Amino acid sequence: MLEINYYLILSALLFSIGVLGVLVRRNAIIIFMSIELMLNAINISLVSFSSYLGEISGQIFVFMVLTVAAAEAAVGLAIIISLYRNKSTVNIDEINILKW
Amino acid sequence: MIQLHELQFIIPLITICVASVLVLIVEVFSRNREVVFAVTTLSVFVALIITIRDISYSTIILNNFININNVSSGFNIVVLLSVLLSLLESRSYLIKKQINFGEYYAIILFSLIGMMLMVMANDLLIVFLGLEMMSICFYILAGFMRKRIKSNESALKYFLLGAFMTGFLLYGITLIYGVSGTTNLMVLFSNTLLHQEPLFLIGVGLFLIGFLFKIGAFPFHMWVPDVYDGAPTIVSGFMSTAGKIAAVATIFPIILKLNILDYRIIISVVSVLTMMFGNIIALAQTNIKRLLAYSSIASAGYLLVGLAAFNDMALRGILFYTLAYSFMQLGAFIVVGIIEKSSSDNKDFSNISLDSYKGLAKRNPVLATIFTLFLFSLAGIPPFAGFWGKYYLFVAAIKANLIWLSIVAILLSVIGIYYYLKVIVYMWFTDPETDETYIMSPLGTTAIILSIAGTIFFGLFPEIFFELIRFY
Repeated sequence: MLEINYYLILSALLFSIGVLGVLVRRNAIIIFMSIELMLNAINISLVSFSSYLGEISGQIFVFMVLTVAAAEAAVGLAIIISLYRNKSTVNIDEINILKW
Repeated sequence: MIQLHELQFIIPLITICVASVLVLIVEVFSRNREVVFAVTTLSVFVALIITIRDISYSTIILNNFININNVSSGFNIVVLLSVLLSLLESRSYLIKKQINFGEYYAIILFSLIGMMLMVMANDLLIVFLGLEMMSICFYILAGFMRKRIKSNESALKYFLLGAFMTGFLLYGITLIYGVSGTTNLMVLFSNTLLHQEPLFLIGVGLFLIGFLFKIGAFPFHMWVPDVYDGAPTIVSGFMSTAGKIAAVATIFPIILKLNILDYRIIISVVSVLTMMFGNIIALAQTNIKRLLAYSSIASAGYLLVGLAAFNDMALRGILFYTLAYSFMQLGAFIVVGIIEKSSSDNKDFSNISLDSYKGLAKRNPVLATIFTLFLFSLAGIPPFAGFWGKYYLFVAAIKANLIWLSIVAILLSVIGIYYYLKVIVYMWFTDPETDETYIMSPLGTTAIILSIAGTIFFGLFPEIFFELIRFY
């Protein structure tokens, strides 16, 4: 059995990749995918903590995070679609009516 | 195990849950918006009455997930009040904007469930679920005018940033869980050895960042003006009061009881920067919704003064300021909504520049007087409720030996008076450019009367609220 550190490092790396993706990419859908990556990285560390501590509530938490991520995906994609209908773009650099 | 008799403590929550499902069913089968509206308003009203009646309950129920005491019930009362006020004005606004769909009311109720859960939470799981229930509903509400590009844009910005910050909040919860092996808040509070662990501190820090975003505090405030500007006006009012109050109500007891003194200096600095940013940028605004959004950032700063002080006086201040804030901020947004929806051209958000407030006093003295009262209260001029809110918060800071913080806060709120006065000068001392007349629906008028009554009544008798929630 691997040490817990490996799982945590993997999770931290995936989380950082997700954060970088949000900051660097300009396509709303890719940004959204990066956010999902962050959430899944968190799931990895929750499960590994749960297994390491021998305590079940971390795994229950993962179910809730998955549910919330699914709900967020539904709402987020709906928002992106309604924006695309009006503006025919999902590039966030071109979505700039509201400023200051 | 969940005991059946425990359910009697959460009757308000159950009422709202039942009503939200009922609203969806009625909407599907009859499409009768009057019934939908009546059910929604009535359920919120009933929940409010029951919460006030049951104020003395103090218990931890449902497998230690829910903590009910007079403070959480007090915050619930404030949240329910602001939901009720915004619902009353919603109907005529939605009809005018041609978005009077039943989903609106269902989503409002869903977000209300999230807020109430979050305020009563005794477990990080419930905090997370409540926060997400609230936020996801807010994303939809911000983009509710789905044919308007401004509304789409504000929803997208809110959604991407909100989901991004949720990631940090969750990472914080994960670290807290990993170090302590529990998500129960009571256990976390009592285990003081944990409070020295560096990983635990990082976890609490990330958790705090997630909440600072929801409150709209300094480095995470950029979404506030954009979202409030693009969202339907009544939704902006709703988000800036109920959502912010619920987030503050959740984070405050956690910070208070974790009692990690290192955070005091960080929160003080954040609060000063928030107040500075909100008040100074608001000076340059020519759009009334953005002006109110920046003023709401400044209000978040005042609430953070209380958070930095973390003593019992600060809890008093936060309770009272949120109450006053829900009356005055929502009242101001309702007036803005009335003026916006009376615009003759039904284009994207006409009538929200300051120019449309020119000479309002000559065209409609009643509306101008009411708006002036709300702005005075927001500026913190006695004897309105907003003054006492700030007073309690600043006194709390002085009692916590943060004298510099209260002096800075007072100075910055004096700057704040300037931009409120600017709007008042526009209304009273310039000549009107249009001759629009303003339609006030009976329900909207009721909402305004209630908010103005609350602003003045709690300004004259601030202690009555604490007697009502038995908080001494």
